[in-house]
Amino acid sequence: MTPERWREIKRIFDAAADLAPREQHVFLDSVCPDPTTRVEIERMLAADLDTALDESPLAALAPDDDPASLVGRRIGRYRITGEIARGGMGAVFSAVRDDGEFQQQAAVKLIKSGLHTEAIARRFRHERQILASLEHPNIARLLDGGVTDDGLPFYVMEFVGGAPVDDYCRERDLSLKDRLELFRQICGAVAYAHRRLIVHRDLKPSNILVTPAGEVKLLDFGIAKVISQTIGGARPRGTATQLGLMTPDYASPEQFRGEQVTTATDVYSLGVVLYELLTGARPYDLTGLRLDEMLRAVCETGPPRPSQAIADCGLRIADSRPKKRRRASPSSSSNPQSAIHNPQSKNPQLKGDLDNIILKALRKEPENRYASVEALSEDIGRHLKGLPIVARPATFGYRAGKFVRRNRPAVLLASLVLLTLVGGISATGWQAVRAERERKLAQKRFEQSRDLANSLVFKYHDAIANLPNSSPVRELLLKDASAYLDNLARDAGGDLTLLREVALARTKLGDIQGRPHGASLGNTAGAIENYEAAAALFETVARGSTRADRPRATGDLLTIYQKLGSALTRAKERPERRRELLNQRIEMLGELLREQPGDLKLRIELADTHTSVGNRLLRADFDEGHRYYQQNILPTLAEAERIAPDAGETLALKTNVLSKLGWHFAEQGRLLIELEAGADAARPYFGRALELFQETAKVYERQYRREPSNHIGERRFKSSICNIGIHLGDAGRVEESYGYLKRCLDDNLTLAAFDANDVQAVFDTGDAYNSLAVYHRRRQDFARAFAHYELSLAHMERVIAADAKHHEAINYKLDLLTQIGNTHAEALRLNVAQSFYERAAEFAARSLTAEPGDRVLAGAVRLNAGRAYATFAGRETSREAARALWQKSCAELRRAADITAAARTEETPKRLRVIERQLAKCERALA
Amino acid sequence: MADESRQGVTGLLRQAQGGDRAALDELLPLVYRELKGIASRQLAGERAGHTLQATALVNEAYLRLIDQHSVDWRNRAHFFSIAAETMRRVLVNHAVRRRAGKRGEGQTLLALDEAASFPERREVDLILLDEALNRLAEFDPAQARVVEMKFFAGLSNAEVAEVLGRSESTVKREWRSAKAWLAAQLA
Repeated sequence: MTPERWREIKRIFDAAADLAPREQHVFLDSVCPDPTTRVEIERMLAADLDTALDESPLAALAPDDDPASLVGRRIGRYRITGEIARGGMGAVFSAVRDDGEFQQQAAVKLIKSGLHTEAIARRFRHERQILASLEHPNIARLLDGGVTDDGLPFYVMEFVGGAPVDDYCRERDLSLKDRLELFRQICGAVAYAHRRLIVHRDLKPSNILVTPAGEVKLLDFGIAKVISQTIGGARPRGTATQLGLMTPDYASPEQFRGEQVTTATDVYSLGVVLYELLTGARPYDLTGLRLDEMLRAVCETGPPRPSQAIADCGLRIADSRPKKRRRASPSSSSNPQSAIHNPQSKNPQLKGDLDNIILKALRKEPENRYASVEALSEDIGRHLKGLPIVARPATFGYRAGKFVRRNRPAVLLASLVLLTLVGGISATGWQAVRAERERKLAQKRFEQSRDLANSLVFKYHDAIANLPNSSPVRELLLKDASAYLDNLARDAGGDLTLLREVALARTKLGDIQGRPHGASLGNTAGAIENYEAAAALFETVARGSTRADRPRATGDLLTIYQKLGSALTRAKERPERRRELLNQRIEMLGELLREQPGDLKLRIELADTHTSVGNRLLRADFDEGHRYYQQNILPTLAEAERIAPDAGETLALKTNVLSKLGWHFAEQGRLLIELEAGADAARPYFGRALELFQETAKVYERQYRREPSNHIGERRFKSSICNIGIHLGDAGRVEESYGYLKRCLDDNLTLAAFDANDVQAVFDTGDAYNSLAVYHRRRQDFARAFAHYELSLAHMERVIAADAKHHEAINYKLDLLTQIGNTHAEALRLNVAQSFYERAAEFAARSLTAEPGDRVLAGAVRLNAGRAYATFAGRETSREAARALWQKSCAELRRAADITAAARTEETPKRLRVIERQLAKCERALA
Repeated sequence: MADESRQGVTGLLRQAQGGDRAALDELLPLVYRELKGIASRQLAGERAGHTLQATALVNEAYLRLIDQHSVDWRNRAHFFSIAAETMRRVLVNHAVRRRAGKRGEGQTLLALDEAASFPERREVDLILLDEALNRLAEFDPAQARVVEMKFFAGLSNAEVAEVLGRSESTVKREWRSAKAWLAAQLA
């Protein structure tokens, strides 16, 4: 190693060391010059948590302790009464609390000395509060923890009288169903802890006790983390040190590899436990293997299917022991009737669903396992109820099979409907029937067909709507049904009720095709077509409706306009049609409200609709939009608050209105800065934006406190913290902003770590990094700013990799490239800045659509490049060099103006003003 | 220790600081002997569960060896740096002897205990560390000194900063990256 290379390695290591592990990879991707250097740095990062060198080498000279001597002594408020067990790292004692007030039995676990005592004590202080907050009937409570007078770390848990779950099942000879129910109880407790972001990390039968009353108690929740964060992470990837912190038989591949532990790790360990409870064997036989052999077995080979495991090993559950696989002895058969105990045959009860469930929990890649312990538990629940499970390979045949088995009568009926419809339409034809008798018969058949088609649309469709991945079936069902209804409606002439039924079927079809979230098929164009057709039908119905039917007809129209409007917005199509729909809705809602002024729902719908109009106006012209807010939106909000100040809908409306307005105030502040109106002119806008976000945050906080288990509420509250941080910075209170921004990042990292598939969390994390980059940039700390920008960029790229059409992330990435360019310009590195503008322009050309909003963004890239050249021209002392830079600047700005002028959006005039101002300056300089 | 001897050590320290190699050679064994003596006395009297504090050792050696009246802070800093180097020798030698004594026992493999899934205590192999530290000194001698003072003498960041004339934050950073590199070498 040369001194130069070492300096480079140190520089990168210093920058990466404080990042979260998964962020480190991303960071290294962006900065590492070559693979060898990268490996070197990765090894260092892996070793960074190693505390071995923090312990004095003299500790090695200290004599050992004898934990047994502790019986009879007091530890904290507890008196040790006896020894329960002893292991490699310490010993477990029974104890009683006897501080005079009451007697409480407890288990004290003592950790052998010399194990980085101080670090463990520190972590315990840190974690104790979190762990003590776990209050669940199936989790043994952590009562105390700390360091004894002799410097031995200890923790005290609620004493649980019970047997390990595997022993319990064996001794009671539980049936398959009972075992599954018991396992679901375990899942419930683990899921509870996961909701509090606590991962067990060391789930195994000896940590899962069952009391004689059949109540599950999980031990040592979160303890493994306390220990492993102090001594773990030592050697890179899967070496002995980390292994010691887990139990290899139950450890996941990521634990073997020393990678990040998440809730998916517990899903895996639960999978092993379930495997063992149902088969008596473990998925991998690690007995007697060397470390590297274990690693290979767990990380590279697949386990035998549980149903096969029984046959292979000839094992009976009644014979299984927690530590060893045992061959069954044919003589010890206690329950020959039960198939589960039959040593000779494969187990038909495990084959199929249970095989699939367990294997899904045991997938090597965390992201391919069940997304949560709840999902695992639910799948078992579904299996117990005979419903289709998620873990099954998603074949249509399987799903249909399950569906038919469960709903045999209903499916038969539906098939009959289809036959009737086909027969009815093709064979007879409504208009062809003339004769009175035949007319009556046909009328009857017509009614039947129609009833059955409607049943398809409503009853059957809704019955399967919640089945996973049922969208394709549902679409097919609805398409056929609405085609039949269409035909019937055509034949029946002006039957309004029938027309409405067709419209409803079309609406449902549109819902399936275009729903932005959930199980949709992502066919927005199809959705728009169906919604338009439905809107036309509903309009016909409304025109012909009687007074009594009017409210229903209006309601139908309000709904379909709303759906159509948002589908068009998502597709970024036909803005004039969108405006028309909004105005129609406002008019209709106004009419309805005149009749029922106290109706909160209508009031809120009106406010929402006004907000859509107001936001469009704000984008075009701040003052006009602001006026609209003052005149239409804020009064509607006030009215809603008067009717029901604490209703969830009112609060949702309030936060929506205030935060939108906040964004626009901030946007206006930024525009003024771009127009070089001066910081003083912009400050009141930033100040107002901050106030609005603080007010929003208050509402979210109140809701969150009231309902802490609501995840959406929690997420909103957390993102309002981010907003406050961002806008404190804009309002000039840079130092104050840091605390909020850091918290924002931590929250998002936690969320992202919690669920690897949570694209929104990845996006939000990228956003949080960007905010921190801006913070550092404001403080002229460019090195940190760039590191954070790079991370932000990497996150957006991850979002785009997961969803190539993620419009928001694409725009965000473009803006980031431009901002990084700007920052390099600020740091006086024109060449680098230029390369980023080029990257941005290239990315814009590749990823943006010809859609007007996107063109505005492409124009912004050029504007920023133009501005950077201008800045450098201003600094240049040589006249010629300055002139060359001005020329480049003007060229970029002209391109910006061309692109933007062609875009013609609401924002175009505003953006052109900014560009033309720069251009005028540039042309003056050249002249 | 007698006062004149103390003055003698202090004088040697000054000369060594002035670049006198011979004075340093004379000084090192004195410091070495003293450190070893303190260490074994402390160990003999220690109760179970307690460990020696390197920094206390070095400080005690300093108080015993150096005439407090005739040194300023730079002498103290210089002494610490010498003590750190000496401590390294004491400990590495101890490890070499212990290894010689244990030869033939074979290497203990990691005990994977199922009842309590925690690791056996892990000690740093001082001999390997010593070798790695020599390698580090080849391309970054200053950083190797930081390790010596932090690890072997248990000095605080402030003390190391004082000895090396660097800022505390630099010492902290250097210590962290050195630790990571060394730990990676030992893994």
